[in-house]
Amino acid sequence: MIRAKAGREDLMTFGASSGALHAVNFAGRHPEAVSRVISFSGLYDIHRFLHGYWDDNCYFSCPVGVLPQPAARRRSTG
Amino acid sequence: MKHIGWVIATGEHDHLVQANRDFARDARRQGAQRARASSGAASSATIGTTGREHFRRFVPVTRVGLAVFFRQRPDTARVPMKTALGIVLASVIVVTNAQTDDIGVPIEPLRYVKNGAESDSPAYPWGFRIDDAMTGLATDGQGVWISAWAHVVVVDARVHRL
Repeated sequence: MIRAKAGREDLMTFGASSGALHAVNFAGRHPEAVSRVISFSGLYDIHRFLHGYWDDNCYFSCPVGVLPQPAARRRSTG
Repeated sequence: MKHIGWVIATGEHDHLVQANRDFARDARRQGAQRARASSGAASSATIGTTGREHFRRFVPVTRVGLAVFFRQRPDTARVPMKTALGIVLASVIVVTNAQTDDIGVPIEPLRYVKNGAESDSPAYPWGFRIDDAMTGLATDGQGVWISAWAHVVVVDARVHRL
């Protein structure tokens, strides 16, 4: 629908703060659909909101969780 | 990750600046070579796209106030010295008149708190007592925006030597 309304094939996501998280997360989950991402000061680690809870849905909604990290940080973030 | 163009923008005045830099670094390791946590976001940010509350995270508050008032770009907002002095002078006149005529309520004696102790000396380097007079006006809901802008101009003129 977006492509049809915009009249172009490339798709860009943009967001600020929590919107930045969603902009990055959408691009990470659908890289074939997105060509550019602009994120303004997002919080990309959602662990602080989950109070220890973690499942596959959380994993796929947390950009930081998907990216490879040094061993020390990986242990501290769960 | 590689074929997506990433702009991880942040600002020096944002409490999430380090988190954004860490994420941009991790994204580059993953293959997003163009991912950068740019601290120059203010040059491209506009209030219309980020909202005024978010804007304060990118640029100093005084600079946002100047930009809104004078309709300038926030990252390069400047006010001519004559304009700044004129606004300050006008505010002094407004405040002085308001003290005697408009409000009719005497403003509390000026007391300044410095290092936890009260003092008669102004805590602000420019020595204007207009700041506390403004506080008195603000509590009565009069002359608020004029005094606020005078404060902004005074601060910015001093900091940036306009």
